[in-house]
Amino acid sequence: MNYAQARYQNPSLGRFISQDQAFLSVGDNNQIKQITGHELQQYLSDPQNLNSYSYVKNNPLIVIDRNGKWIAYLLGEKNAVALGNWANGNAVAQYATDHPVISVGAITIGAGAIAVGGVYAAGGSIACGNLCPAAASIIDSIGNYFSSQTDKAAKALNNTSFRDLQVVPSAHQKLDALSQKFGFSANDILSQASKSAQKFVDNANNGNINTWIPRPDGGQGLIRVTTNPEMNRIISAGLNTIENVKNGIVNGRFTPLK
Amino acid sequence: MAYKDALTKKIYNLISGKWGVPEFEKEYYRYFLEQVPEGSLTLPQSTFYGLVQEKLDWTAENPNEQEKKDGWFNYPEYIEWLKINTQLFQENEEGWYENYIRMFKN
Repeated sequence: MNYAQARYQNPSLGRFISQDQAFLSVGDNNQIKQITGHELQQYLSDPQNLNSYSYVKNNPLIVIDRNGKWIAYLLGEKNAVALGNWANGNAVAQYATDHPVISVGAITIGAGAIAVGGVYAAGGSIACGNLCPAAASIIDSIGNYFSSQTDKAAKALNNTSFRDLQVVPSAHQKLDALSQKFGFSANDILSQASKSAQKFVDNANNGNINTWIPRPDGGQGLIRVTTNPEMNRIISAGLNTIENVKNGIVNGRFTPLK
Repeated sequence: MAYKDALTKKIYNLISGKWGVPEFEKEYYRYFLEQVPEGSLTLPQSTFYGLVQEKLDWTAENPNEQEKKDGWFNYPEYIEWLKINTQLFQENEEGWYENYIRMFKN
């Protein structure tokens, strides 16, 4: 286990296993401003900031993190953005920069993982093919990133497998509808939702817990799986637009489950 | 404006009784998710029309008692919720939005 000033990184997973300090402050404008120097809205406008398990916006070539809490650009932000655009348009570069610890090995032996943007790389039963870079981008935008985690590791993070939970009958119907729409079983959807390391409290609906995963067809929007606040029943499932999820985070409807 | 008008027209088809909930869901749900581009609606509009779509995920013909406690609507309850919110939204879009976010700000 590596300690990086403010959070831990698991070298065998090649991933941070604690969330970014700034992301954990979402919802508290003062704290966000103190850590990042930016207003909450400005912070949330950059999807990279919502990937709470990433390192230096996925670009360690040009961005550094001195205190484990916030970044600095080695070349100045303008130059960094230009380079960052290149990296974002290059699946291999993106994977490598997001996985600085394991990138060499992963690129050599994990062509499949690179092809799917890492999103469903290990243990995932939903294959995205060429659509997955878009899916990876979507999942980044809500801080819902579980790239190289195995089922076991993901369960250790969440301590909850949605497949083991009771699904209320009406939610089952909605899951079945999603299954038919996307051609995957309800269990596949629940399995992917289980792996999500990010869950959000829905403050407009009893404090239910929403988990979003990208649509497996790469289409616009996110699949939502909702549990009751105790997380022992699946009580709803459906789709949301990314815009509505982002707006919900900004206006306080959705807050990260801590 | 065209997207807003199209969504509103579909809503009126439901609350006027021209459509039932299943037909409304078929016409509205996918249209909102897949045809309305991001940024084409204002924040209050995106929130309102998104909520109309999302509530369909919490609507069933006969939800059981536990599901109702969880927040599920039956068809008449959804239509009633939609009528009330559509009226409030049409009277004052910004006011509807402010009122909506107030419930979880406090």
